[in-house]
Amino acid sequence: MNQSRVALAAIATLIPLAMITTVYTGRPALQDREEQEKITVVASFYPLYEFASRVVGDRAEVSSLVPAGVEPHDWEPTAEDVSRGRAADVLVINGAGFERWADDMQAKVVANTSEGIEFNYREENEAGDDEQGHEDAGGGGVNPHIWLDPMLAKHQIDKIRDVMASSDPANTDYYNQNADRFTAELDSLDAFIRSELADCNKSDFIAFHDAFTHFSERYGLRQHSIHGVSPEGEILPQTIQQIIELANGFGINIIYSEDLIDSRLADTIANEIPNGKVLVLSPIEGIGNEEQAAGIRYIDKMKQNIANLKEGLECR
Amino acid sequence: MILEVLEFGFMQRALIAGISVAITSSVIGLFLVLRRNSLFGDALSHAAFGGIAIGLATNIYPLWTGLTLSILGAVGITKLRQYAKIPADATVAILLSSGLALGILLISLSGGFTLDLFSFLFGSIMLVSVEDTLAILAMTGIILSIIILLYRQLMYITFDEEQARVSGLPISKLNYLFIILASVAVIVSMRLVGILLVSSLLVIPNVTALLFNKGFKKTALISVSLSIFSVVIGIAISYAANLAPAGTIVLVSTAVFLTVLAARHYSKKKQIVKKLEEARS
Amino acid sequence: MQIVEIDRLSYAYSGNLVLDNISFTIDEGDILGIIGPNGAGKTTLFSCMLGLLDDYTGTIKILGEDIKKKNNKVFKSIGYIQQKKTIEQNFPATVEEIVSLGITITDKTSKEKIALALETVGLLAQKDRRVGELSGGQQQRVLIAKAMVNNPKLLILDEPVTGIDLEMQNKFYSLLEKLNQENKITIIWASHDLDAVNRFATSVACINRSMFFHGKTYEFFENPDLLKAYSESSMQAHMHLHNHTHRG
Ligand SMILES: [Zn+2]
Repeated sequence: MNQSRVALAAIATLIPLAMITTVYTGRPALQDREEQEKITVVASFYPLYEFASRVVGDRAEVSSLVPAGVEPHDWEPTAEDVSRGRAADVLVINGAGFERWADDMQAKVVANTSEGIEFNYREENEAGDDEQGHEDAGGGGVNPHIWLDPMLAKHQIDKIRDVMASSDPANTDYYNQNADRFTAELDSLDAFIRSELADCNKSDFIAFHDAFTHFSERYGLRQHSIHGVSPEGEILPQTIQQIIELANGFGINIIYSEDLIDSRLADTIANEIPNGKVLVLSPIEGIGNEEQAAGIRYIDKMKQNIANLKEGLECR
Repeated sequence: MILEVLEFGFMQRALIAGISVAITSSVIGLFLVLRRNSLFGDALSHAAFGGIAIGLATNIYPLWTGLTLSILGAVGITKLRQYAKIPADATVAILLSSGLALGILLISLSGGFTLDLFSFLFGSIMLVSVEDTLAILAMTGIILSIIILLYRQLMYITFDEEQARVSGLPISKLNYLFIILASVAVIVSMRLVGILLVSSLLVIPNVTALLFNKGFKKTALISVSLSIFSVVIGIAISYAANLAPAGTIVLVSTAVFLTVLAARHYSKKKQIVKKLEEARS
Repeated sequence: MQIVEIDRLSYAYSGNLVLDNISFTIDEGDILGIIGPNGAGKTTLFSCMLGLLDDYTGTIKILGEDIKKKNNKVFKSIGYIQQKKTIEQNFPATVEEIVSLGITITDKTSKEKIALALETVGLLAQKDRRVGELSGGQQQRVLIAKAMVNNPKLLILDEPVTGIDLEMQNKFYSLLEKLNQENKITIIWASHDLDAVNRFATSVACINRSMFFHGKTYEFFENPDLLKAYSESSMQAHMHLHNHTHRG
């Protein structure tokens, strides 16, 4: 009885004491760290998080604003996200109207990875359905899904590398090396896609939303999509009917759904067409925690997409 | 154009599921409206919203968590009403806002799982699968048979709860059963027209049917017919004009309500004029 | 046979004794008029008898059965009409539907029973009308039809004619007499109207928290001392009520 009381009293005095000592001993250590603290980079959503991580390697701390596995199109930053964005040394965004909140974030340095891309083939692009209405995402009518075209992804890597080099000139060579390595991987991905899609019966496919515009332009395909530039919103009865007729018109039996989206819409459409089937064509707008833990990255996702696309396009 | 679209399975399913939901929600709604509990359906659907958010956050099938939470919430406010003697509308407000708050909180915590939420808010009548349709038909069958079996008891409680108690009816058991039926009906209709529009399916056809000044059975039949009419015409218009189906259905039923109201007003006026003329001559 | 036996019934509500040690019995075929000032505990007495309140002391036996046993058979043989029961004007139910609520088990004879009950109260012709369209007196008769459709042995009426005009009141009382004589229904009936009680009741219970008088009707009305004492106690209660309303 008495013993336990003594023990309690001892604990009660020890805890505050311990706290005081950590505060005192902690202070100089904290100052030390501040001097050699890493640059912080905040990326807006998944592919940019991976791209930035690849470029900066271990010389900077990279985090993503949009949490893993969350659809980024209609995502809005919380107050905490805004302060994270402001505190960061570099904010990496996709641009082209994808992050409507980017201006309000007032970040120190913004790496707009779509800056300098010429969106000149917009008019001839056949993606999507006219009736669906291409609501512009605010980027002057450009389609923001540039990361799905490996060549444009290379441009994004370059952009990140340039901004990092000017923010942290001491590590310029390191950043250059990393960027070159990833660019080489993207080049071989491009070669892989070209060879995989070299011999296909079809060039038309139905994506879930208008994400594969640049990709299709690059590889000579024609994308049609159920949803417009964003994968969300109420689905109207005529839209379903038009997609069914489109699929029947092109003899398409595969409807693509996405990994972050309820697949019921794709299921419904696939149900209405002969031998209808749903496969995933990921716009890689986010990779869930489990997949990330399993080591699945942008290039793996692209290869999965190509495998599913081959089935839909009837490639050999 | 409207006939050819019926060849599509999704349209057939939308109609079948829509008609089933029209029947159950108008029947359940009649009791709610007469017990001055019109917003109960709203409270249930918002509690279900909180439950669905739990399901999405914890990876449990959201409809189960939604159903559980709305039943728990409904039983909770019934108890609250009995023991704390809090007015009915206040308890409804408590359930409604706390369900919504729970949903919003969980969504903000998880960083916003926007993907499925839209379909829960506004429904997805065009996307019901064959399994969904069968489940909805089964639920409709169960709810309707229970209501038909207990029709007189439920009507008695609605008419006068104290009298019903005196005549030996198990009031609290019947009330809990009704709450569970209402929760199931709300969850099912929520899938089709969304959380925000559920209560309109429960309330509007019944308020319209009451304008006809008929007996209980006839009022129920009128309400069911108006509800089916609104769903079928709503789906047809939403297809023809390419409008959002859930919103169109609700607006059609509002239009029916206004038409009946105007017709009644007009015929009443005519009667008064007739009487005045008779008195004069 | 005694339909109701009440033995030393007391009921307290938040510390106040509302019913104090009340005992009486009712024979089959009686019409018992219960009189007493406002707040004398008449409605509380009925609530106890109907099982709506069960935290009383003493015993209540109806049809020989203690009602605390909650035997539904007993409650189903009681018809009850509440004080100042107004029917919601817009309630969507026909006269026939309201009367049908009184039937516990529906079968082929239900329709006939309803028709018979409506005929007894003289409303058969109105059976398809919406109950909200009827006059107050007609509505009260609908509720009587509902209370008697199940062939009750005992009818409990709590000031059933409040707000009904005199002519309707008389019709109503004749109906009670008819039910009592033709259908052999025992009736307990609370009223303010001494004259009506004098004319229609076979016995009288005068309650003012405790039992003030219980006996044959003539015993009460032919005893001037009792009448005087009763009207004084009523006046007191009335005065009290009067002051109360004016103070607020
Ligand atoms: Zn997208």
